[in-house]
Amino acid sequence: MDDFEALVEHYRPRVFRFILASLRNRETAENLTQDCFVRAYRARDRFRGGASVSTWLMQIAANLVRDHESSGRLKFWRRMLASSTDASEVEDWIPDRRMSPEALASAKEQIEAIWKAASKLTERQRTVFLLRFVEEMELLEIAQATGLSEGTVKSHLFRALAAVRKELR
Amino acid sequence: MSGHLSSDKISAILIGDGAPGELSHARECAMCGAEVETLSAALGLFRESVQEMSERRACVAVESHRGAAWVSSLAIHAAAIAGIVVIGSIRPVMNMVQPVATYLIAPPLRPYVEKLTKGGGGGGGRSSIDASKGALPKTSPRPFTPPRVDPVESKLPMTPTIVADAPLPKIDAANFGDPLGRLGVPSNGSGWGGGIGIGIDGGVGVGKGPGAGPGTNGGFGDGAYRAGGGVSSPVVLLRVEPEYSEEARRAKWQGVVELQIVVDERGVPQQMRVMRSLGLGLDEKATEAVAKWRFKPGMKNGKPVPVIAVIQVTFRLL
Repeated sequence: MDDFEALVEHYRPRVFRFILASLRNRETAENLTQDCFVRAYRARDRFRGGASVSTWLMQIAANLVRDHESSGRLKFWRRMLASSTDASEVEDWIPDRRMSPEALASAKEQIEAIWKAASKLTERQRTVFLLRFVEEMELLEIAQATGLSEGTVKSHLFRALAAVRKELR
Repeated sequence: MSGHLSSDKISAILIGDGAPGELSHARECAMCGAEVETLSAALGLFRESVQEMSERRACVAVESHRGAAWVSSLAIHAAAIAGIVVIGSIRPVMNMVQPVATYLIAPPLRPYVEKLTKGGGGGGGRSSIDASKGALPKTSPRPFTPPRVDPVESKLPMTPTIVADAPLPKIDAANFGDPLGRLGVPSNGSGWGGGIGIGIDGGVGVGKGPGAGPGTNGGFGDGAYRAGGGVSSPVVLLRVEPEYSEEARRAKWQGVVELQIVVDERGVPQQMRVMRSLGLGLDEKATEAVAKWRFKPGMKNGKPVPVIAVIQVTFRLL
């Protein structure tokens, strides 16, 4: 908590990644990441060490995402951009480019399917899903970060995976 | 354990919440193991893809914006040009612009004024005796030598003339002189500038100029009458109030401008002269206004004649 700059340096990519995956809009993600650290800085005295710093930051980020989603602000634009930006550029985000064309196509399909599944989830379900499978957080950490019970987290994850499985088939 | 794992069980394994029995089944059963494998591989791809997406933000962000910027720049310019064209073609705007474009100031049309021929003249030799009676000299378009009662001997005599185109009174006399003068000792009169009489400037009589009589500027007789003595004064028919000049308004300047004008036979003011000036542009404003005035001309013997009038224009701030 003393070296806030180092903390930002260290956790910024992670927070940004989570928010970007949640909203799929770079500009908003940048802004909300900034907001997240501003809030963290203001609330740094209240951080008791009950959870890890990363969980605490993810909690703030998840709240910001939820506020943003519920405010409905920029929804129209996001929807417009989401269809153009990400669907066409999914290929760019495929990590290993030395795959065979077939494997590449298959990977692209799978990633698109998961995005599609994620887009159909509720905000809470998606948040839980991203925290688990992108940020690879433990169930307990997710429960702390989202303020849900562990059971609720689990049921959200079941739903999310069912949706993913459905899209992958 | 019989049968394969349900979807929920597989999900539980993926979540990391699988029971030991389920985990061992997934390891042993090729089919269930493959399903878990496929799903976790897909989720892994997804994770890496998101990671990739968030890390390569800068360059892509710039690229995607550049495309958008090009389009929006074009759109904004097109909109701006279209806006100008549309606004310019709206009737009220055109109406507003047009008067500025074709602003023609009609010059004040004033009736053509012939030069008043009814002038007069005067002169004299600064003598203490009044001019003596005598004949008027001949007329010529331009005077060269003013007439004198006592012609000077010269090698190249020049016939003295006056400027007049009106019928002159004929006096049968050997010498030149003022036709209205008295008989007596020959004298050029008390005027000055050559000529005969009490006027100035080389004519004959009491006026000014090379003519004869009480008027000015050549000719015979009186240029304009003064009211009184059988001459009625002109009456104002149309009065135009003068405007205040901006400077005078700012300086809160008030007072009276006195103008002397000649109201001609048509009732139009001529020969305006400022007798008493106020300054600060008020003289000009007064002259401007009075030039638009119209009069019933002054009458003499039932005929309209030019009459001199003095007009006081009062400027007062409310």
